[in-house]
Amino acid sequence: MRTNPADRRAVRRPCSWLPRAVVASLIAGLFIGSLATRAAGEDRIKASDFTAKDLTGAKVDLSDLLKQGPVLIDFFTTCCQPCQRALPELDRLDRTYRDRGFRVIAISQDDPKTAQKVKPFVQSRGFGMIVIADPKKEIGNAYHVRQIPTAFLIDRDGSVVHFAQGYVPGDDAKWEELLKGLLAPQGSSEAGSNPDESGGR
Amino acid sequence: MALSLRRSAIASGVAVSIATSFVPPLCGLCAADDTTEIGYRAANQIEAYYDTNLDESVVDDRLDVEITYGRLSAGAVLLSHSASNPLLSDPNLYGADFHGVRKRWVEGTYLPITARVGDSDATFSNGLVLRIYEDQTVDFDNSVDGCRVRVDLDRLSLEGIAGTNSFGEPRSNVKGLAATYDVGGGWTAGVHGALVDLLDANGPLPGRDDLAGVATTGVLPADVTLTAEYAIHRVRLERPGEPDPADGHGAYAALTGSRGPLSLLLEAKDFLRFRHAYAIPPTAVRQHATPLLNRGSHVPNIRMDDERGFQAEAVATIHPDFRVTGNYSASEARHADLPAEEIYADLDAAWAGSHWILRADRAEETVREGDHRTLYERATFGGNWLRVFRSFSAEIAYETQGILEQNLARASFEPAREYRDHVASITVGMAPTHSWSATLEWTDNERAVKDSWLWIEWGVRLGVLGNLTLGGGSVRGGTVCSGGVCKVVAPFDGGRVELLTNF
Repeated sequence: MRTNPADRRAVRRPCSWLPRAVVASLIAGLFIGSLATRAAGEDRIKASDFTAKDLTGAKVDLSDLLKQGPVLIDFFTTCCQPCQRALPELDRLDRTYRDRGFRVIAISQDDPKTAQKVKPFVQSRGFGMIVIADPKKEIGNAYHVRQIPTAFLIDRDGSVVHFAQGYVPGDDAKWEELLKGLLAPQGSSEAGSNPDESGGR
Repeated sequence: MALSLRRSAIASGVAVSIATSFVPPLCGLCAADDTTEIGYRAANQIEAYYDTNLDESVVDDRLDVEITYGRLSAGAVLLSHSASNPLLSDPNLYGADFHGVRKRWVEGTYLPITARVGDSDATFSNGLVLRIYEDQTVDFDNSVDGCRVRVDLDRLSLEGIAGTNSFGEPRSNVKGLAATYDVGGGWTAGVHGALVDLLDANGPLPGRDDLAGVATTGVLPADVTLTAEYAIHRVRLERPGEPDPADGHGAYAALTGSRGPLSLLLEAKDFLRFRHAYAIPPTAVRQHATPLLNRGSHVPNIRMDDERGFQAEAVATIHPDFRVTGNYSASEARHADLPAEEIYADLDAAWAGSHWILRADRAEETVREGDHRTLYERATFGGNWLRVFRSFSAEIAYETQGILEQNLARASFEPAREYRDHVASITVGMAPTHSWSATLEWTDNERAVKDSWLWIEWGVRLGVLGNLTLGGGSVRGGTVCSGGVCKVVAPFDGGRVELLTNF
């Protein structure tokens, strides 16, 4: 279903265009992306705001949480192995830094076929972080989630300071390092808002 | 924060901000003020691969763009798909050439109303009556080209959709309406209806599908959550002198709850003459994460014409570092001897500084293949070992599946075929930037095209920008399932480059 069969072309073309096409696409994608962000005078991508209910029925508003501190959003599914490794580590971060305003929002991308597994999955692991079921993938689509898991670390001003597709064991250490930079005292918040450049402090 | 960031609808998107003074109001709906910003977000996926067997190279470039301004948003998906030799390649494997706009839409939000024109999707409750959506992981998309309107009042939500399917065949025209009411006390009740007119007179079932359903969800005593849905399916063939088939139905129910260290899930389904263009209901079959279990799943063989069954899953957390999962699912048909049964267990533990997973599964199902039935018995065992060292992590996974295949029509004179598949992989990760993996699959199945496949992959994270993946070798292919939708992935020998960017 990727394309319309009616568009088939009965013309054989040499493969010499392949490297050019790849390079052109790469350049175009990177150029447009960097151009757009630079045109706006911003170095950081802004996170999409959303309002939803968590598994307990409580209202979750991203912008409200950002007023209290940075937020890490992690998209997962119950049958994804890397997600099962990442989530306990993210829950640990949530518990450790919650009193400093930081929260983790885990957003399930299980669709209606497997959405019923989300609640038992969370309860059996005793997660204390915020968990949202997004069976229609409305939040996931807003964040262009192409791979599971995908995580975004968002600073108080709504800018995405880091994001990662997939989970490599040890990623949580990087998250924690970046987070400590974002949680720095008020006096050094300017440097802390750009942990990539400051080395995460 | 900018208005475009504060839109209450969850599907808003903003990536960059541009000074308002440069942007005149587009219309009254835009509600431009001093804080209104143009929002822009995009994602690009470039995939290039070269198949050494077919001497075939393919480049896919998909760009998703969405622009928001005040209450308006517009989006498009641009796709460029180029196959080096459309004559030789099988479009079912690699797709035919396509360059252009694959999807586009305009959406306006004037609370409590959200209206969308263009490519639209909608899922009513659990998807029994209508499930229109896109799942990129398995290349599934049954979006319709038309319009969708949502009205979210205090306790009542209304959703309507109408359009013609943008992709896939047969061509059909769908109209659907759903209403969900918040009864209070954590309970909701909904009614759904849909009419699907098949536009292709030569299609398998020309005529019209009428669907009507009810659904409810809520919390029972002891914090048990109930979800239930029932729908009636009526087919109108619209052939003079030919009677319409009997009415069909689809039913689905689920109970979830937790007590102490035990979490439970019970699911039941009942489908009879419920096949229609947009029915993708819950399967009540366990979805697995490992390649051999996923490949041998009952999901592709679920019979919407006649199947009923259930699934029960229990998770016991004996210790925070020690968890056991057990699952049993079974189904049968009313009008044919086509049973399916699966029992699964896994143990997930942290021990001796490592993370261990051990799995065991036994499945037995009878499948109709052409004019005969075939019995498949599969016994699968596997496990993962993962350890995080100071500067890297290492994971080793192994899975083996013994398969017995018996043509039941020839059982009296033809012995069953027995063969065994194996998959082993090793992954080394250097968080947060690099990961390397090698996957070896081998089989003693004489009918397989090859007896071994080796794939090596290197993944690189490009900071906030995206991911780059380079891979090479051979992949066995087979059925890949996600969310109950399955796709057959072609066997592949060659190299592959993928770049995902978000900006």
